[in-house]
Amino acid sequence: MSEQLPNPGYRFLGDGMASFTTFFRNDLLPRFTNDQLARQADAALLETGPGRHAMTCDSFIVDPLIFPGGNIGTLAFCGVANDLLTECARPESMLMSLMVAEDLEPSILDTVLDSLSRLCQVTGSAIVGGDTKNLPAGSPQLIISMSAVGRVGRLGSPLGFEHVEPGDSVVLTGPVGAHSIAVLSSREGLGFESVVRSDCRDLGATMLPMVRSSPHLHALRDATRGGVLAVLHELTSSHDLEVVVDVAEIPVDNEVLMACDLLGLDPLELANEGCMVLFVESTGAAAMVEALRSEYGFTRACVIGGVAETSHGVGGLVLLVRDGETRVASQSFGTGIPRLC
Amino acid sequence: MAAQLSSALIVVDMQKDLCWDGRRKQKVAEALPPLLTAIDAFASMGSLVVYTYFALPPDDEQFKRFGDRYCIEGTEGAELISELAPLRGPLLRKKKHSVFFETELDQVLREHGVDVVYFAGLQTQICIMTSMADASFRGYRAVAIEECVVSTRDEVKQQALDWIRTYVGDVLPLSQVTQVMEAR
Repeated sequence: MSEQLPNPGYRFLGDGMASFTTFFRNDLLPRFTNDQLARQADAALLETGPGRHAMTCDSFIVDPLIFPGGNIGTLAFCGVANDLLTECARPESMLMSLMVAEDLEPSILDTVLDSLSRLCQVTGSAIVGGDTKNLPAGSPQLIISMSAVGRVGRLGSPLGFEHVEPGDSVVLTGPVGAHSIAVLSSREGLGFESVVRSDCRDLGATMLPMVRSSPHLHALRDATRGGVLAVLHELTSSHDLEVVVDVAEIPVDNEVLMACDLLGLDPLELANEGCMVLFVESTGAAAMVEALRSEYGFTRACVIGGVAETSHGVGGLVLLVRDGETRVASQSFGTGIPRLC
Repeated sequence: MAAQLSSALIVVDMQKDLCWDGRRKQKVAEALPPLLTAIDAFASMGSLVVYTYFALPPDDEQFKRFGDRYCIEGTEGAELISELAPLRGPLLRKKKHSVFFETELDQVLREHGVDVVYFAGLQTQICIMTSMADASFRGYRAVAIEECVVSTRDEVKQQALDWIRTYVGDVLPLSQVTQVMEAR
């Protein structure tokens, strides 16, 4: 076993070789040990095997770094894992880039790395390489950039928005808005942090078998930044479809509703980190919801609406039905969405 | 040992920067007489009165986010308004909107056997609302004293009071509060 070097803190992680070596040996390798990481090469070698692979990357910045229900590490892992799940893949090999502020509290980084390490162990995912850089003292304190690749395991027809058809049902796996409110409340001290927890979770850990084999599933997207509405707008604006959503069907926890009412936010536009929107052939939607609830633990999964041909001569419309009235949902352009993930 | 008290009054952020801000100076002046009456009533009946205050570092992140600077630690603006002197209970520093966020208030209330928490001060639509939500989540009955909570704009205050009634607690006029207090 390598000799433990004294930890000089997070200064010079980008430039000072001795400092980086210490950090790598003391903080990274013991947590994420695998053959490729141990090689300490400039590039990792992957045995990809036959078949198609899905690949994704995302960067994560959140304040505070630790929030009710998770931290930036769980966010980073679950974020890319959920992205891969939309192509029926799991994160097999990952690259992680850490940008660490010089004055970051060491215990916070320990918590973040421990969470990441646990998730890697539980899922069998390997962080096979990465990079570290310094940020000057101050804010942000930590930025994580994560890339992941995994084999596509879908049996039968492929997934994607291009396979969504008029008549499909829109299914939601669970309540919306908790992640945004948990983060916002713990940052601003709004009082909800004791009762609202982020929904941050690796959805593939439970629902992969369904995604792999359901013949009725046409596409799925995780409702992260911009929330459920962003997913629906993305579909309708790119594929000349219309989506009609019954707002009353969308599950929202009471405390999240309270906070939204207080802050003037729409739960449909809030970021989630453990909520998937599925587009399902209508004949299989009820059975899928039942399976999500009873077999996969998504006890509040439900059908929230349906996909239709565009009826107004223009594509890109998301129609929200509330109390019998229908309105066109507008698209937010940045300022209305707290930048939380 | 828990005291016999069961009610407490929290006087939220009655600080110079916030109270004498031109946008709400008049509203504070109107709220002061009933507030002083309420403080006197609670203290006279032996109920706990707690004053909270912001004392923020000059580079606090919320200044960047909200575009306003106030109650900077060590400045006169961070002091409580002199009309409240002499204080009738402890002074509690807070860093964020809810009076419970990383403060000892919950512990102090429990040590005094408090089950009903009354709120006064400012502003109704943020610190009072969030503090009352937090109080209700922690198992207290939360009550806003209508004449003693302040917002810059009347319609905003009414919206906030409606929210409080809908979700987290009661809104009572001072006359009713003192009646309830005397009956306990």
